[in-house]
Amino acid sequence: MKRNRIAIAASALLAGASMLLAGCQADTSGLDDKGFKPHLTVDLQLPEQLEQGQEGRFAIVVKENGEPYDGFYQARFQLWPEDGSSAPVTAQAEKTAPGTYSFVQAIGPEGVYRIKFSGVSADYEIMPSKRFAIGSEAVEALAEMEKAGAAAAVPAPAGHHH
Amino acid sequence: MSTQLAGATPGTKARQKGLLPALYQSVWRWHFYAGIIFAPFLILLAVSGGAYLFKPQIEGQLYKDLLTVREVGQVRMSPDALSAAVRKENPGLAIQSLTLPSDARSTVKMSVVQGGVPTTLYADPYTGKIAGTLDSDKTFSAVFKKLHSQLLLPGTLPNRIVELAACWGLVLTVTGLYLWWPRGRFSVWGTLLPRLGKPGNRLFWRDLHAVPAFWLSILILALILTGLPWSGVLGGQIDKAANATNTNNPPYAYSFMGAPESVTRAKDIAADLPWAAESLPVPASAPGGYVPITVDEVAGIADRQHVQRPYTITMPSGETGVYTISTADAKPWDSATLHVDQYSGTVLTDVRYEQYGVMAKLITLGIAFHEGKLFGIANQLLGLLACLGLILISAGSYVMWRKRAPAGKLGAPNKPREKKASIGVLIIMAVLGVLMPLVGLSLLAVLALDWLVIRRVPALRRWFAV
Repeated sequence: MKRNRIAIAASALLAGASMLLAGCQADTSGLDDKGFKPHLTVDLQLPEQLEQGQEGRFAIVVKENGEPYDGFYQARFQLWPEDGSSAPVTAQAEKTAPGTYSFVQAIGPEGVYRIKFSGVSADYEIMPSKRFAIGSEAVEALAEMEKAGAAAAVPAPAGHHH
Repeated sequence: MSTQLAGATPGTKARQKGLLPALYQSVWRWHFYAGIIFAPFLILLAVSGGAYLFKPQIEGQLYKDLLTVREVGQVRMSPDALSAAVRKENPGLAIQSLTLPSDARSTVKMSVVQGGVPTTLYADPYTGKIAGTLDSDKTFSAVFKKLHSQLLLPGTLPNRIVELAACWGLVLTVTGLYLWWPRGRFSVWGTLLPRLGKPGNRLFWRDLHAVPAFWLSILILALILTGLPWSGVLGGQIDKAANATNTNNPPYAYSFMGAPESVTRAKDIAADLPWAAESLPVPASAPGGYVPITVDEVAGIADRQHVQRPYTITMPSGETGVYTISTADAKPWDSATLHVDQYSGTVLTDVRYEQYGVMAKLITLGIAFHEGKLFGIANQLLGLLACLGLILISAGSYVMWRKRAPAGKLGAPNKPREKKASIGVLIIMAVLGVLMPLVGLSLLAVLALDWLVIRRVPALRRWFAV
């Protein structure tokens, strides 16, 4: 009887100490091997054929931890010309497969365009966008834009020390 | 110094027989030598630290025209619009980071690079005008911080000297408390209250050294201990201990501790343009890569993730970099560091104070206390009190020493005849040397100097009272 009491007391003490120690430790629960919290990965896909006046299907595949993610309460696409010559077209994204959202839209006159997906859920928020060009002049303009974007990449900030 | 032996001079009362007097004598010798060597550094640390404590108030006045707007407008420009306005005024400017203020009267601080020179720029968020620039390395706080951490000198050595002085500051405080500890009949005067009746005599200076040192000892110990986690050698050991016990920060807790890479990869068509390189016809259409999200969108993410202003948004470093959102000047418990994928806007890491391990929490609170940021003006005044006290204690000890030292002699306390005491204190010092590696190294250097030089030269032996 006495031994049992000692065992119970020791177990309780051990459990208490474990809980106390666990409370002292850094909370890394839910982080992956890179130290990232759960997050979404995206693959924004442009139509295979980008042709003026033709309908094209834009799609995005969204995954969480490698699995299709369907948790958005708001999912929409926006398409607009980069020169602002016309207003953006906004449309609700259509879920076409698990974790896959699509949008079909006819592409207007020649120019550089931007397609953007906005997805909001209780846990996540994403807003990836891509450019594409219709017409040879626009293709050259797009190439210049991307070159300029790469050149304008910010140099690494200086380190901090106390 | 104890009340009993306060008036002791080398070779008189301190030569009393017995282990305890010998122990006292030995501790006094260590306290004396450490004080002679490190008091000037401690004065320097106190002066620079005392000034740095009031950085917000002093810089607020010194750089008032840069830090505050001339007139608070109706609507603040968005970060992107403000950045564009600043770039228009200064073409070729690369913005590395911008700090969005919480106060409506504050300008927006930007870390920029122009012509390869890093500069801090302040812009008016209502007009988009540049209020002015500051050389980040030459601000009031930067100069005093450099004095406090590396004596205004370049390289690692000055920083190690500062760490060594701080560690010996700990030893001085502990040995000083031992010397102060009342022995024999207790008297309030000379123990808890200074005897200032005869200004200028040795007792006056002794009490001006020992009594404030006792009252301020906890504060001084706290300030030294809270500064050491940032030191080069001992700080590294503390970090290792925290990592080994998993009581440190989770990964990516601080913006300056490195950032991950974006998980979304930009597809750069500019890098692969066969038609441009090989004189082929330009295609009729082309897909582009991902476009980075805007700073406005990053600010929106920060606000929706309840990051408290002021916070700093640091731009991605290159095509694979991430946006970093980090709180600036926040109370420790409000601190947040987030890394955001620059193409998708997904939050990859989000580390808050609640997730820190116990050591990281203590260190973070300690640093805030050390810098006078933990509990406002009271914290600053407490820090100032410790700094002024440390200056008084250190300067007073020099006056006391000069008054006591015989002409032509160092005036060091004599070595106790009881070897057990010397060895005992040496063992304690060795333990401290293990705990504080730079103290250990300096002990080895002192012992080597003692055995190889001082003991072999009679004049030096006499001068050092060996």
